[in-house]
Formats: sequence, C-alpha cells, structure tokens
Amino acid sequence: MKQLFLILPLLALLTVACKREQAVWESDWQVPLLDDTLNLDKLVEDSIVSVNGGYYELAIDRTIYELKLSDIVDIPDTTIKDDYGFTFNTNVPPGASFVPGNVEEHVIDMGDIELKKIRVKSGGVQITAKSPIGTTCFFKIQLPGATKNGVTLTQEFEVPPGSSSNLSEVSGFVDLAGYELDLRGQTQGSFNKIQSKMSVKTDANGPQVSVTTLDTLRFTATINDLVIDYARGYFGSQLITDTISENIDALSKISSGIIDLPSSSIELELVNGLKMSAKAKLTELKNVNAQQSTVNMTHPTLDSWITINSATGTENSLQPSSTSLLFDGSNSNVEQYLENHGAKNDIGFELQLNPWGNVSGGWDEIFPQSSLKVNLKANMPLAVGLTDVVLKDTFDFSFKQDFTKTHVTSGTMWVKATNAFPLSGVVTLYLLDASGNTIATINGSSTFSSSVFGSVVNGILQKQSFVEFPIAESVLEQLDLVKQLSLKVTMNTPNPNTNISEQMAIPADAFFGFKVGAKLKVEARI
Amino acid sequence: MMKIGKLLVLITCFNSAVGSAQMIYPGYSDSAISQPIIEMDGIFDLQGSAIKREFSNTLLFGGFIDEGMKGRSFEKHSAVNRFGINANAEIRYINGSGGFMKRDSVAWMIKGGYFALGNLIYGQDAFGLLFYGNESYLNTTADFSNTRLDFAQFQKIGFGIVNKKNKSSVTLNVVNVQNYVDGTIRKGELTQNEDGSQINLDIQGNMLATTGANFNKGLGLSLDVDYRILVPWGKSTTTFQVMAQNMGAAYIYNGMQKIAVDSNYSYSGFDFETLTSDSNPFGDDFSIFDSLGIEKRDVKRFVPLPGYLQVAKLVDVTSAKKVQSFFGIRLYPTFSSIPQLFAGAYWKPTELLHVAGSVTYGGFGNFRGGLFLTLNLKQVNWMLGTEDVFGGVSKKGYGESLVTRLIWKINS
Repeated sequence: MKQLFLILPLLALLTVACKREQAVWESDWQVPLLDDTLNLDKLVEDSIVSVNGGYYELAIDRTIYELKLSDIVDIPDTTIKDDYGFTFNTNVPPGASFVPGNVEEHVIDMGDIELKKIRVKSGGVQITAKSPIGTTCFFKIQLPGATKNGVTLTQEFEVPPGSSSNLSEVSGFVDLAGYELDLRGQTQGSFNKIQSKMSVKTDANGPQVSVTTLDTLRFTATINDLVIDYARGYFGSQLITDTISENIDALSKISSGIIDLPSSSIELELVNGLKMSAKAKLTELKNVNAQQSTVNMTHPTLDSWITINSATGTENSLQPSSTSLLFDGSNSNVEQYLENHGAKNDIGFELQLNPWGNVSGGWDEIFPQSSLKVNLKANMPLAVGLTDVVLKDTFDFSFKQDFTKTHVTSGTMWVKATNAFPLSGVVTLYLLDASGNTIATINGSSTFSSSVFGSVVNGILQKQSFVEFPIAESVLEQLDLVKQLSLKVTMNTPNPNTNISEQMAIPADAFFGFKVGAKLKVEARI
Repeated sequence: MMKIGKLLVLITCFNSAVGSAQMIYPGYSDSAISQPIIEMDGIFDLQGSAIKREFSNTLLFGGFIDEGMKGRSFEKHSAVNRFGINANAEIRYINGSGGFMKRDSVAWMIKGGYFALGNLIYGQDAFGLLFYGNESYLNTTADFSNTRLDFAQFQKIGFGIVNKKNKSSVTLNVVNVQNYVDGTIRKGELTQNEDGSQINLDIQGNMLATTGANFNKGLGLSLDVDYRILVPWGKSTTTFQVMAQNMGAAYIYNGMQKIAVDSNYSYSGFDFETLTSDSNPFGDDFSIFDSLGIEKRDVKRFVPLPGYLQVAKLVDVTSAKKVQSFFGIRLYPTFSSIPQLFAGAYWKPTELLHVAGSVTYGGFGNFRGGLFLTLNLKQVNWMLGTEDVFGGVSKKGYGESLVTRLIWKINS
C-alpha cells in the first residue's frame, strides 16, 4: 500500500509536464459574400426617375419650403386675472348673487398681427377660482365670443367654503378644441381681444355669511399651448429671410472628374394658398461640390422682388395662386450649375407678407390646408457623360484574426458583374486604420466594362466582367488594424467606337448585378 | 532520445504511465493470490481504417500536415471510414494477504483509472472538406452524411472484491466526467456551383457536448466485472474471461450544449441592404447559428459511459506449455464501432522472457498485427508491446499502439 502512494505523485508530475504542440494544415475555401442587383429604384431615394422613349429621365417635383399658419401666427400663452373685492361689510344670504357679471376684455399681445377670428385646433384654458366666503359658492365663467356650434362657452365651478386667511380653491380645464373665438371685442370693431364674464352665487342651502372689505374673490384663466387651424384678420407685414439648404449626399462622394449633362432646366414654383398677397426674391442660388468649388446660379430675377398673388375662394373652394421661375440655358447657367455636381445647394430668399399693408381691411384668411410652398421641379433626360469621375465612399469594417488559432493567411476577393449601365468603372479598395491612414491599397485586376461593349440580352445591352482583388498575406497580417474600408470607383462613359467619354443615355431597366466572393487560404490550428 | 520522449508523451499525454485493461493482450490465469499486488496497465492506441499514422500522429501531437501527408491518407478513404483513439491507464491494488468481511477467499481491491475514448465514423468528403476546404468540391456535392463522433474523457476511483483463487472480481466505481461529446450528422450535403458563388447546404444533425475547461463536469457510477470460468480445453482446462468494464452512466450537472440543425440553406451572398443593416455579417449582432437555423440550448442529463464487453481466452503463465493460444471478441455497446476480433499465440521461450503475437480485426480499424514482450521476474511481471506493429515501424500504417502492463507481487 505504501508503494502505491509513492507512484501516484510521480504520475501526476508526468501529466503536468506534458504540453501539446498545435497541429497545423492549410485548406482552400470559396465563400460567397454578396449577391445583389442595383438599379435606379435602389440607388435613388425618391421616385424621381421616369421612363421616356426607353430611356430614363429625371423628373423631380419636390417641395423644398412651406410656410403655414403655425409659422405665421403663434398665440402666446396668456393669463387673465379677474378679482372681485367687496366695497363694504355685509351679510350675504343663501342663494345670493353678489358679483355683477360684467364682461371683461383681455388683449392677446401678437405684435402687428391683428386677428379678428380664430378657430382652435387644440389647447384650452386652465381656470382657477379662489374664495374667502364662508359658504359654498358657485362660480360661473363665460367667454362671450367663444362659440361652438353657436353655443357660447360657459363653465361652472363649485367652490367650497373658505376664509380670508385660508382661501378655498378649485381648478379646472376648459378644452377649447373646435371653438371659434371672435376676437373683435364688445364693440365688434377691435382685434386680438378675448372677453370673459364671471358671476358668483352662494349656496341656496348654505348659511348666511358675512363678508368684509378685506375679502376678495380671485379668478385666473391661463390660455396654454393654443394651436389654431384658421385665422382671419391682418397677419402683419412680416419679412422672412431664410436660406434653404439641400444636401445631396450621393454627390458628396464624387471627389474629382468631369460630368457632362444635356441641356436641362429647373423650375422654382411658388404656390400661395394663403389668402393674402406677398412678394419674394431669390437672393442666392449656389452649390458647392466636394472639391469646394462653388457655382452661383445667374438669372434675371435674382435679387428682384416677385409679386405673389393672394389665393382666392373659401375654405372649401380655395384656389392657390402660382408663380414660376424657370432656369434654363437661355436665361441662366443652369447646365454649369448642375455639372458642378454640388452636394450642398443653398437657396437664399426673402419673403414679405402683406407688402402693401392691411389692404384687405383685416379680411386676410388662412385655412387649415393653406400654405405658401416653394416647389423644385426638374425634367431632363438622364444622360450623363463622365470623364474620370471619381466616386469615393467609406464603410466601417472590422475583422479580427488570432494568428495562434485558425485564421486566413491569404486570399482573393472576386467580383463577377453584369453591367447594363453605359458606365465603366475601375475599383480600388483602401484599407484604413482608425486615424484614416491607408494601411494597404488593393487594385482590381481589370475594369468593370460599360454595357456599350456588351451584347443585348433580354432586350437590354449588358456586359459581364470578372475582377479580382488579391489580398496578400502581409495585408491580412494587418487586418486587425483596419477600421474602415474605402471604395474608390473611377467612372467613364466611353463611346464604344472611339473609347472617348461622351454623354450616354441610361436605358430603362438598367441594372448592375454583382456577385462578390472570396477565395481564402485558411491555416487551421488545433 | 526522441523515441524515449515520444514514449513518455504517448503515456503521459493521456494522463498516465499506467495501463488500462482495454487491451487485447491476454490476462493471466496463474496461481491464486496470496500477497498484496499492484497492477498497472496502460494503452495508447490510435487506429483508423484510412488515416495514415503520419497523419494521425501529426494531428494528435502537433506539427504541419503538408499536402503530401493529406493526399496519402485521402486516397485511402472510402465511403465509410473509421478512426478511434483509446488512451487509458488503470492502477489496482489488491490486498491479497488479507481477507474481506471475514472471508479469507476474497480480497478487497481499490483502483483508479483515466480513460479517453473517441470514435469517429465519416465519409471521404468529410475528410476532404475539413482538410482541403470547399474549393475542392466546386461544381459537385460533398456528402458528409452519416458522420458520427463519440468521445468521452473520464476518471474513476473504485472499490471492489477479488476472488483470490480464480481472480474474478467486481468493482464499483465513482466516475468524474471531464469531457463528453456525442454528435451525429444524419444528412449533410454541400452543393456548390462552378465558381463557388452559390452554396446549398442540406443538413440534419445534432450534437451534445460538454463545454468549458473545468475538470469536473459530471459524476456517475460504473461497474467493472471480471468473471473467469474454467472450461475443458482439449485434454486439459483453460480459463475464459467475461469482462464488462465501465458499464454505467454519469449525470452532467455542469450542463451540456445541445446543438440541433435541420435545414436546407441556400446562400449566394448577402444583399446590399443586409450588408448595410445592423445585422451585417461584419457586425457584432450577426449570428451564423441564426442564419443557419441552428438551435442551441443548454441541457443537464445522464449520459452513458463508453463501457465495453469482452470475452477472451486467457493464458496461464505458470503453465508448462511453451505455446498457448489466446483469442476473444470485444464490443463497445455505446459506440458506433464494429466488434473487434482478436487472436494470438503466447510463447514462453524462457521463464524470464515471454513473447506474444496477435492479429486483430475491427474496432476502429482493419487488420492489425501485434507483438508483446514480457519480462517475468519473481515478483514483477512487466509487459511492453504494441497492437499495431506495422503502424509502429512504418508511416504507411493506419495507427499506432503502445501497451504496457506491470504486475508487482509485494512481499508481505
């Protein structure tokens, strides 16, 4: 038995002393990575392309600015206070009315806007009543001029007994949604005025109470967050100065090259659904491309006032007015403007409402559907000539390898493409570190050929290409450091006969189908 | 020196310098037990039907598996191939000088052992996919259906009783399960087009495996029975042994991961939208298991231990005969291996040195020839041998085997 205990530690020692070396072998793998087809539906955010004569054309119709009632009128939060103090000491019997119930007017401060009538879409009045009377009182609040379906807004509150030193208090909310408010005051000739009327009656079943000159009934009404959907009156002579910035991200990826576009035109349409006249002027129309090159649009109307007529009709038969500004080759440098492929487009303008004052006598109207819109319209054949136009985009990338375990030692990424666009492209991949420094550059083995060099398949000209991107072992060793993948595509639109770039119309249903895969040599370690 | 090192590695890498009872070398039916005995036996055995020794050796002990090495094994593969590993060691102490429970004919025994048993059944394409990659299977189908892997690594400590006269014994063991794998791919077909841009994977299978590096993942009980029968043999008698080892089960309370898959997955690459979405394949949220419809869950359950049954004719070292035969059959009921048949001759040229030769078929491989040398001293009987002579001397062999047994009769 003793010998057994001598042997066991020896065995344990031998066991611990054993360390196994890794078994290593290489194997070759093919991995599909991407399989997709891009067409204009996928490439363009909105549906801005249409087909005409078998080719695409650009059809842009988008609202780039809109001025609505809420942008013109903002009803400020307003607090109305109505206190009633007793002028002599007296005893108040049960059921007695002792507040005279006079109509009070309260002015809403809206600057030079003079509204006579509004309709509330949402919001209301928060009402608080405080009483020092030693019996239950019934407060009756009326807002003369605030009507819904012809009924004046009336609200009653029951306030419990209070005292001079300890006022009883009741709060409530009156929803004004749907109410029309006549803001002309008692005289019917004023504006921006809300009327109120308060009466107080003691409880008919309560005790007789005495009041003194020190007692005051307090009533507070606060108009909060009132949103209106209709207004009539005079909306002031507001001058609005603004710059609309339209950023087209896709264009910001073009880093160099020449783009040649066909004759084109752009239209800015001013559609006025407000029943008031206005005038506007374009102060600036420019774009800046990725190389910070700026093109300012020239046009005879720039910096000149354009009159915008008032809309006509009623809420149910509103007829907006329309004013157009056309930028074409005859009156502007629109082609040069577009060929600058500016990603940042700035449209500076000034807009003045009621430039000639209150000429309608306070009968301007804004309906729920009313607005003053600026629409951008463009119609042009989608034909483009590209000469060494460089498109550059960067993606986040992360691929970690542990070289002490199974890992990729070398490989080739391949792209099998079918191109029905009349564009050719040379693709280069840049592997970037966290600071954006290039760790490695991987050039494609050949060009993705333009469809013009191909043949007609299924009714459309298309060309197949096979491009390989070899990934050397030295690149894979640094893959841990790669945080971004930058893709550079140099594009041309070659004429198949001359190989010189020229404008090429993009055929309907053009597509770029591609399969991307990787051929990898893997070093297995177990 | 390298040979010695390798020998040491062969023994110690599998946790022992002592032997196991799972060898074909015959047991002895010698004189009755009358003194304390320490028995140690161990085996390290790699055996395959197609994988060459150079390959399995490198795979197991490390090094670079070059194309030539892969090719020589690959070409030997057929539709169904087997590969197994059997590395175990056992030490027993028999208190032969005393009795048990007031019975002098019975001695008590304690034992401890380490076992690592693995068995793999696979097709040639499974080997090809793993070691060559899928590029070799473009424009065709790689069929790795009916692949099965069983592996168990466990230790045991047992207490039992031995019949001093005929050495029949029974032992109850407590078992610690260190690792356990039970996996099957019932259907596995990988079809690719010519340029590798389209993959279709049709797979049905499941795997149950312990995870993590901790030593103790489950506990169980097992029974070892060694029953010896004296039967007439020609004009004399001989002893037959009916042995059941490691028959039992363990509960894996540490949890096992159960992976099940039953799907037909067609893949030609992600689309552009997926690549730019949150679940892009280079993002943290991407799961290949979800993409393949693989269900993963943790389970706690009982698992059977890889016990075996053996019926064999033993040899008697005390016999005056110069040559004796031995033979038998061994089965692993819980493994998908075929029964192993063995037979051999035991030659006593001198009292000091005994030699045995054997032929086996089945188990994890095909035909093999074994050779065993035994040094027979007064108190010590030490055997060193191999069940695969060809594998030991030639890289063209299909396995490797080293067996040893030490019996030390201690003077009381």
